[in-house]
Amino acid sequence: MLRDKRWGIRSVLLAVTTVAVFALAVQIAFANHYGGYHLAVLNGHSQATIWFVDRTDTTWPVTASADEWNRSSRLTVGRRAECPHSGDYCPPVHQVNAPGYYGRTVRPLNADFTHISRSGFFVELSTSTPLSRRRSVACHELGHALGLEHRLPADSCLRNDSVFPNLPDDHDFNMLYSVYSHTP
Amino acid sequence: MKRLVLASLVLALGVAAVGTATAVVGGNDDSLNPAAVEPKTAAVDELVDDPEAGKPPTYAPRGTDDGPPSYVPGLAEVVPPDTPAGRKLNPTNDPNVRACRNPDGTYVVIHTTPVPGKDPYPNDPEDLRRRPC
Repeated sequence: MLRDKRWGIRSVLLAVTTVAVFALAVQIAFANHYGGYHLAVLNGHSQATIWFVDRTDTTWPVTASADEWNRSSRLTVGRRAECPHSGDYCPPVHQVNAPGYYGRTVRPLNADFTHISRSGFFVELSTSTPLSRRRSVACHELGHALGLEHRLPADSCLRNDSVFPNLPDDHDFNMLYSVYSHTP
Repeated sequence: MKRLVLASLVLALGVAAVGTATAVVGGNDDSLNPAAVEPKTAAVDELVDDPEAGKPPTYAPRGTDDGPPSYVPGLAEVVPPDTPAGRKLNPTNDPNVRACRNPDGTYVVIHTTPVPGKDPYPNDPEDLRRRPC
């Protein structure tokens, strides 16, 4: 009887541990890849839509990076010379001379931290970035603008490292699908 | 033996639950969910000659129907990481992420990709844009 009781307690402890590991895994999945706030569906679009208003010169592959992120089935991502629709997300992509950084993404949030706001939303790409790194940096910053966070390790342009790949990886698209399939 | 079998069963169920839930929540599986991507060609326009290309940025860009600018580089305050807002906006305390509070009470999250070995925030009083917020 005593043995059975001990075994029962051990089983409960094991089950609790399992639940804890489960919860931790879920938290890691969110914390590393998604900040908990995202683009809203605006202007009657069928899904979240963002136009990167390109103010960089032709050495920056903004078009190619936007096109790559546009593979997501739950987002419309495009590069434009001007904002096509008033009220859409149209963060400008500026080219700046910043010796300390390659790129920067400024994401304004609404008051309850659930959605990215339009006002003051912009991306900066710095002339200090070597030409060979511009594809990866553009991919990285545009990914942040979609609501994704750094990842490590990862085979993605969102890897939090001094050098990272040029493109998103499958996990990034799975994450966007998960976030933008279930949120307004 | 019976205990071992039972323990193995519980462990297997736990691993299955973790794997399933993680895949559902975050797509943590490395394999691509086929529904997550689709071929699209209409969203990206063709490159055109842009007279504004490469010119210095104008802050803070916003739509005509928006209110006054919230984020003004250099005027926002860093949100301490040990505050509720700091924990929400930068939960992993990522050093390349700044959570900032604007003068009007709204927030911004700034991701910076630093040049390796350089301080992206020299806090130059002559250049507000180079400040952390």
